Amino acid sequence: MLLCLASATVRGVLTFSLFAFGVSLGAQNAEQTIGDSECGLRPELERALNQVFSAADTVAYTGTLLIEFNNDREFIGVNSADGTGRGSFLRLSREANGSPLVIDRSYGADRMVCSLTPFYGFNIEAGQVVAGREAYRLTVRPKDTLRLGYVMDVDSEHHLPLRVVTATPDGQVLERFEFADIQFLPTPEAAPAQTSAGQSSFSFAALPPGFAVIQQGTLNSAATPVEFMVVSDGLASVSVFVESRPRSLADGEGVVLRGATIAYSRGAGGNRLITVLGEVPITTARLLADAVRQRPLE
Amino acid sequence: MAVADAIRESMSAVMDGEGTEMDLARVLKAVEEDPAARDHWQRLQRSGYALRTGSSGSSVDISVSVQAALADAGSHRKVRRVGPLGSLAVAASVTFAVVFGGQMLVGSDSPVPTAQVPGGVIALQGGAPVQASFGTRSMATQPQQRQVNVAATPSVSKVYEQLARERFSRYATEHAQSTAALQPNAIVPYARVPYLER
Repeated sequence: MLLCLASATVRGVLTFSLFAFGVSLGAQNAEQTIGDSECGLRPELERALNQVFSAADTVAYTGTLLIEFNNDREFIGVNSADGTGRGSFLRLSREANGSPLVIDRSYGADRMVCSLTPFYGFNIEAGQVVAGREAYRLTVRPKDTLRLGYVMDVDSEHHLPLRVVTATPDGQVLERFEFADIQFLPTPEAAPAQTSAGQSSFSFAALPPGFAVIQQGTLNSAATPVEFMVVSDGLASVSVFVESRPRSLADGEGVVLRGATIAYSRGAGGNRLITVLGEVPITTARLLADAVRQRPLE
Repeated sequence: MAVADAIRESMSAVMDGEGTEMDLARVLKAVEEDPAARDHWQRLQRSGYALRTGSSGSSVDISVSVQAALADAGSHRKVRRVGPLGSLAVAASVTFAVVFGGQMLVGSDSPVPTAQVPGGVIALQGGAPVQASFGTRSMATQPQQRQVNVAATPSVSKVYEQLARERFSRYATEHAQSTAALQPNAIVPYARVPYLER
């Protein structure tokens, strides 16, 4: 019962926060004041953002992560790095005596905080205690309807987000991640930087503002050729997969939403099936699918 | 001028309560622009009224109320109950406006038109159902020149919904690997992968 009450209280706080998040969208530009840094951020805010966005490269941890959306929740045991640059996680709510799934982590993504400010508004304020650790609250508000918003409670010492609530631009909560417990480990050794997978024979006629292609190539694991392109605005990221579709299948489209992640499949023209998968609103997914073009032969 | 068969069929479908958003949009456009279509529409309504009530009644043109509903939805002046047909029109207009804005952001020279297809509702385990109401067309091009009428049947929509669900599971790990470095917490993208993926 106490657990339920606590959960309800947390939801209430989050709901209120996200409501305020949605209401305040119109006033986001007022956050930037005269005398701020080159990209319009207060120096302390820019410094904090740089620390948050580089935390994945500089901090190692082990703990239990809760993911929650709609009526589904799951506890996941995580280890961010085992000393070889690899991480692992174990789905505690799905598998009994399961073995951790090892994942190859990518490091070294170039990200300039100032490149985000045209599309997101940022604010930092006092936060709540999460997983027994002090945190400050970082609110990330989209400045248009093409990306999602985030409310993060960030560890005050290591600047790792301990709780992240993802919401639509108007404040509707889509999913929540939160550490139930966490132990920080010694700083990991430098790992190999992410490398480009290659070229795709497809490109985009245009991209939504702020988005750029950061990776492209062909999936080697697929039975039939599947080409992909990854686009990002520095925070939101989307993978676009292009494959052939049966000629007997008429044009059409379908969509699935799971937490903050959307999968949008579309067949239209050229007998191609385009699937957009990422953490963006449906409008952005549709724009990206519309813009896919066969790259001209050189 | 004779009324096109496609318009007649759309009118019949709307009158029977089986019309799609595309049928409704087609009827509204024809009634607004073509006097012959408007006469045919009114005759259909008089016939329907006579069949339902047994009397000839007077001329009733619901396109007027539907247009009013569209105007209301566009101006946001007030909330008005317009019945199921009006709701369809309002839904169509709202979707139309949303996609219009998005298309303008992509650019005005987009050579590929947007298909007109009905949407569908699908729910993944633990996921939120999404109404994919895409009865819209690209506004970046002239509809007469670029519009593609893809009359997708409900079964086709279901196929694409299933495709989206299947591709979600198939590509989720690839997406996580490609985007983990962009996230403040690199583990989170992997935690988003549906359990069935393993």
